[in-house]
Amino acid sequence: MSATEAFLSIDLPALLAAMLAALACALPGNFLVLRRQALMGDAMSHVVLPGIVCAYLAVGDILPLAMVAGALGAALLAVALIHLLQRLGGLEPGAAMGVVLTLMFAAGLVLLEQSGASGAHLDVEHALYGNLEGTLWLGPRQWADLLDPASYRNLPRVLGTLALVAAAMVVLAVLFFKELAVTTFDPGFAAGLGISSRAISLGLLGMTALAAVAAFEAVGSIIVIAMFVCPAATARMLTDRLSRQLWLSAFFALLAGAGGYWLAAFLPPFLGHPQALNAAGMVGATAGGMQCAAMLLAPRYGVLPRAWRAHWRRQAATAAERGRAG
Amino acid sequence: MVALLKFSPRRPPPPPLSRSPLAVQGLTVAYGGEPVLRGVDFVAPEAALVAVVGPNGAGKSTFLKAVLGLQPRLAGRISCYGYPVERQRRLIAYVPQRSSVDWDFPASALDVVAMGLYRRIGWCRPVGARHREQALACLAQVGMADFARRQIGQLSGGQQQRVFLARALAQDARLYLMDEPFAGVDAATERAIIEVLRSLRQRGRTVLCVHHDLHTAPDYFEHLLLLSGRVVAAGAMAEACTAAALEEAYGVRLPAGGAAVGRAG
Repeated sequence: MSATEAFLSIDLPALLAAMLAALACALPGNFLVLRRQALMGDAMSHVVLPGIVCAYLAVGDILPLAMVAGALGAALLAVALIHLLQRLGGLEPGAAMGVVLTLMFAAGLVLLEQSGASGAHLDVEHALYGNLEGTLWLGPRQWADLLDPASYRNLPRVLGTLALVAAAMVVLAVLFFKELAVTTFDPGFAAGLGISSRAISLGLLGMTALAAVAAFEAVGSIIVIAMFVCPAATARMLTDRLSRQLWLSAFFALLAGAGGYWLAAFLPPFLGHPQALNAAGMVGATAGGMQCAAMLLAPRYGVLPRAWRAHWRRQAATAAERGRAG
Repeated sequence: MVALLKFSPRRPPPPPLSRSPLAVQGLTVAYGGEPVLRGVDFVAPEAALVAVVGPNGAGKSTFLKAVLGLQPRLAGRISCYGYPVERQRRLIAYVPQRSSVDWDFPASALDVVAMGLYRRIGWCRPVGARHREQALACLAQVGMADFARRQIGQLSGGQQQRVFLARALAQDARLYLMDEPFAGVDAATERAIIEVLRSLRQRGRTVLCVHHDLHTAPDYFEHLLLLSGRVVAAGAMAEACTAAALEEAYGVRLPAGGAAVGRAG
């Protein structure tokens, strides 16, 4: 196998899957973070597991449609349970989400271990960090083959799903930008405009669930959680405009997906290590690293530039005082 | 019904219930079984500035929210310009309390004012250059044109209040409901709000404004709705704003009526 062929059939599909999954999660993530519901993405990515296992048990095979249906059903059940806990139990939203996500994820784990579903790529390991390294594209042998429609017949199914979902997220975020923005900022005012906050919130949860379901299978829950929060939070440090924040978060998501995979696959051999690192883990870590860098260095809100400006203000004040004294 | 009869006899009689900007009959609202407003009857005249006054917990904000449909009502009918209020939402603009939103939100003053145009822009359409111009004109009306591009969290409290006011102006409504626009604002903002209120009245709009300052209420508003879980007094300021009515309203929660009035002012 030539180096080109290895890249095209092993690295390229995994790279694309990581980038598309990151993009699909990052866009709804912006609104979750602004609504202080970041934990909702976390909850969605975990409750998907029992849904998928139940679907597997019901159908007896890994059928994509059944998996998506099971996962969406579990997501809906989780939303209902979270609301119920808030209403009847008087729990604050974060606590309610925490209870539901751990309960359902734990139930999913027990089901998984007991049912023997682990033979079919359904096991705890894959639930946590997906199957990026196992996403193979046995089509193109050299770069020119990418232009040949025939090589796309073997495109991994998960890539097609992710591309579709990521495209849907972009379209939905652009089409309903105004409505998502106004219901996030001021739900009462939105109601006066005839925009139902409840409908938009449910739609956003639907987007979140869909992104979580699509990304979960390919990249596991680690990337999903990281991508709902990190790109949006990173972008928020760099701009004060919501539209710009959305584009920046999309950029950071793609960068984290590509950069994380690249670091995992190519950095260890470069440093003389024989083993590649876990790709999903590196993508999540890269996203977290970007967030840290933005917090430190963002021109307006970053810690260092703020300290730098304060330092120079103090210097100027002292100099002025000395000037007066002298 | 007492409320209806308290309009000044020298003024023209109130328009028939069905055609006035806001007509409320027997409105009852409860939070978790505890009634906050009971049997409220009120008719707002055309082109009027109405102060909604009352002690804390009197149900002033609840009254506005019930009219807007943000708070479900147990009983009562509300009509706006002759039709059930549910069908007239586009004629009503709302200025919520400043503390009701997160000012860290990534939006400029102009972005927030443009939200007032969202109904006219329609679903799934972007805010165009023409809409931004309209929003800028509304900001200019409240003296905030210079701050159009400023992130809303970096504005002072009074400036934030004016942004909310400009957003309501952008809606170009006929009935304006404002929840304490004067709370904690500077003198410049207070003047700007008064100017906007007067120009709205001049254009035939009706404004209902939750107001805390009993000293300034008679200067700024010519009508009064005095609430304390129910309507204590309503009508022209001169007739409705009596010492007895105020004592009745504020004495419910605070034993010394005079002291309560002094504190609220």
